[in-house]
Amino acid sequence: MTWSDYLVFAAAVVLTPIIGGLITGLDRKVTALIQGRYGPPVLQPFYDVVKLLSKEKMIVNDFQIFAAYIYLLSAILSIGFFAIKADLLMIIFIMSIGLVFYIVGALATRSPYSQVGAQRELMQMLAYEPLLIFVLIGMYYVSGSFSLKSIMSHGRLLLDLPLIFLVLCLVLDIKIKKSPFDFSTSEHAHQELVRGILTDYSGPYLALIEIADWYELVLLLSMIAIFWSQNLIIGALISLLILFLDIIVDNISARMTLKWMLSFSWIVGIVFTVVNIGYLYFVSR
Amino acid sequence: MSSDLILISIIVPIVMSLITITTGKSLARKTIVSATLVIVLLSALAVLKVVNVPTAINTSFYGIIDKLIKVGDYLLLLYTLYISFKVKEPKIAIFAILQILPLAFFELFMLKEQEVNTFYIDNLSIIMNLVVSVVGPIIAVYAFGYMDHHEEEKKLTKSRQSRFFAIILLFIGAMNGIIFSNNLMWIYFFWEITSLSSFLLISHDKTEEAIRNASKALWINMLGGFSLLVGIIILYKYTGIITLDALLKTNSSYILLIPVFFMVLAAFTKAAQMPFQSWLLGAMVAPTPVSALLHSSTMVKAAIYLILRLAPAFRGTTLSGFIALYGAFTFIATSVLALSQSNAKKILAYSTIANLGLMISSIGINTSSAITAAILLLIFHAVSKALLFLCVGTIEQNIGSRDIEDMKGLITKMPVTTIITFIGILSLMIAPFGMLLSKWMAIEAASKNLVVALLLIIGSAVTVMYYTRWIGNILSEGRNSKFFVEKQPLTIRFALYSLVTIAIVLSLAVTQLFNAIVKPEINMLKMSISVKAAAGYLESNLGGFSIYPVFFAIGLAVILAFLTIKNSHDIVQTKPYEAGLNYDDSNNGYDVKNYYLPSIINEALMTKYMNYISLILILAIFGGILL
Repeated sequence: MTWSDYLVFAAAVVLTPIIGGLITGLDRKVTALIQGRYGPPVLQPFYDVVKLLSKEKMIVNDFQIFAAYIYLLSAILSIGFFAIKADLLMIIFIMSIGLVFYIVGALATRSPYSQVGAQRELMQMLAYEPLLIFVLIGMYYVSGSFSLKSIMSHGRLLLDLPLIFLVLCLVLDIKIKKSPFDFSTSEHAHQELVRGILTDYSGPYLALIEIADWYELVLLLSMIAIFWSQNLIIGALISLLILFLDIIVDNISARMTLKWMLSFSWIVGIVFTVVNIGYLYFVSR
Repeated sequence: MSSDLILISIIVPIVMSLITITTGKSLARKTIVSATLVIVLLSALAVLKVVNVPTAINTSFYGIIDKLIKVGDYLLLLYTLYISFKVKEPKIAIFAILQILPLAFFELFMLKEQEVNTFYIDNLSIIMNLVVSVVGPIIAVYAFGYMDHHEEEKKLTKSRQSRFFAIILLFIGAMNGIIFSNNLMWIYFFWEITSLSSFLLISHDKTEEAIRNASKALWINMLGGFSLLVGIIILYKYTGIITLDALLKTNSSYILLIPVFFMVLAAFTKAAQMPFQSWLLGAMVAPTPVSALLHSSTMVKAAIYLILRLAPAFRGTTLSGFIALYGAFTFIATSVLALSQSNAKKILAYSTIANLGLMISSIGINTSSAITAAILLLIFHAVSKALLFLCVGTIEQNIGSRDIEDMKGLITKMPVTTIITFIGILSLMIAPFGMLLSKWMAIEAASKNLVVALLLIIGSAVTVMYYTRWIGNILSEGRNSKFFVEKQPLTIRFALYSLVTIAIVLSLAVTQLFNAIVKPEINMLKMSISVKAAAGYLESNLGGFSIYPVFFAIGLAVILAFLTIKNSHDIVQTKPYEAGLNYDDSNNGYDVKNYYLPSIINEALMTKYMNYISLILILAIFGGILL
């Protein structure tokens, strides 16, 4: 790593939560408009996090503190590695460290709500993790490498990998827990009283998890954006458009079952990946 | 000098095992066994230090040993015939006779006596020797404490520990025999000894179930032995090759692949790949140190050793591609089966088979980074799996159950063991520990082969699920739980602490490990090195993985959490949320069970279909040779 790498790393770590928070705020605003409400101000997520940070520290057991920290740190680490264009497969593996601890943190409390939420989060992970790596395999077939640098030098992945792009959009939808995939927590659009895996996380530790979620949201949106790495502004617009579509789907669909999610995501993931790579192999070469 | 060292590592444990079996006194036995283990360990370290590899070494004892082994072959097979009648399992007799006849024919009419190099040593032998001689003895030391407790539990009036430790020593000696022998017939002999030892160890408790499962293990492994023998005979008939060093010098050619297929098939049986997995699952009835030994440093690893040895012989052939596919299939099928289990030992058993499948798949991919991944997986798997089996054994002796559902709240009952188990599981499933690093390398190496890559990816995701929920179960605790101070016998504590330390240190030192012993092996195989390693950074031509930042992040999280807990006096301990119901610490009534997906995965039914598919794949491998 060179000095400029360290600078980029640091900048990404500092800027990402700001972007992530703003996007979350916009999400809430748009959702409210769709539902015919006025909605909270765009900066509301920041107010929420600041308030949570200053709240009383209530924990069920010590492991939760560790889990929340490591979830945040692994999210920070993966966005930093993304910014310096490291190996994408490594980034996904690092991201999953945090998730494992996040889930174990919830399992470690004996509330049935947390436990069920955690089991559901595990199923969601099972649904999207392989898909995320399928996407990388697709990128590998186009660029011959897993390193983000080589992948981005390709320019317009979207044209070569349209189906795999859709797989990544599906991953985004499952990952940010929007309907029909909002099993493990019901995100803000649904405002349920008990929030599954998050039930026993509270105060500052819930804030850490919120911030980590912003990092992961930005990481996934960036992965979508690099499908048009020739011009990252267009790439960013594409990813925001996808997020907007996700918000609409979130508001017009209901929660499905876990079994459906698993079979749907794996079938879509496998078929789209195989067809897309077959297309690369036979048509465009 | 070097040849003496190697003779020591094979012969000392075997001779000492004969002494152990006659030693009834506990203290004397423990002394003899410990002394042997120390000798084995020291000789392995000395081999690492002294021997320049690769090399073939002669000894003046070649002739004597060869005669002993020739006689030993028949004694061994006749003994298995006797076992067959004793346990009333005709399949054992069938495979024993199927070996005696060709063996006699081969040695009497085909084999021309010639003096060959006694031992063949390269970095792979050294790696295997270290795995056997470091992990094996630690497990044996653990068994000191475990077996005493075990015999109390079974209310035995007469201790059977002499026999038990004797077989363990024999087993370790035979493993070293497989690893160092140059003559393929010697490898075959030691291979059969490991099969017999595992029979004797699995049947140790003499219950009906133990004997039934042990006989199953024996006949399946005898099938493998038969296949190995057939492979060696065909190889000798068409090429005149009877030694490892000669085999490694030849380039792959059409005629070589048929014997290679039979030898690989033998390895599949020993590695308990589908459809041969049932013997390793049945082996769970044995006392836990036996399971640990079979699953980590001996037995199944002999299979990986053999396939790794043969890898240059099938590089670039269709056979290789099919082996990759077959391994990947076993990986995903057994991972999914593990998902449906709540029995910790069974989860570990399925995960062993899956990881062996991953290794075999990597060897089938056969590029330099794939072979690197396979060797690293072998090392890390041996340490972590041994650790986890020993943890489960300790837990089982304390709480009387090996079901992960019963391990809820274990952290309050056995804090030390729980934390070691926790680290052990982490070392098998998440970055930056060596297993996942190797898996990363395997997936990148497999990416050219789309089907194999997809199977490995889904399998890995499943692995994360069944291990995560297990961690969740052992760590779950209620409010104000009292932590008990845990008492462990010294030997058990020694084994757990040393294995967990090795697991962490090896992961931290993965680049040094790679440069010191894996890279020279790849060099020796005359493959272009595509993996570079320095300062915690492993780089292949497809990408790179940096481990130190991740260790740093985990360390930082530990420190931050520790400081938070220590410095803030305003932390309020609260109850888990139960929607206003009264929370009762002792009450498990609100506990939620893990998802085992019974509506999707039916173990019996799925095993049946998976066995069919894997049989078809094996036939395809055979067909692949003819293509």
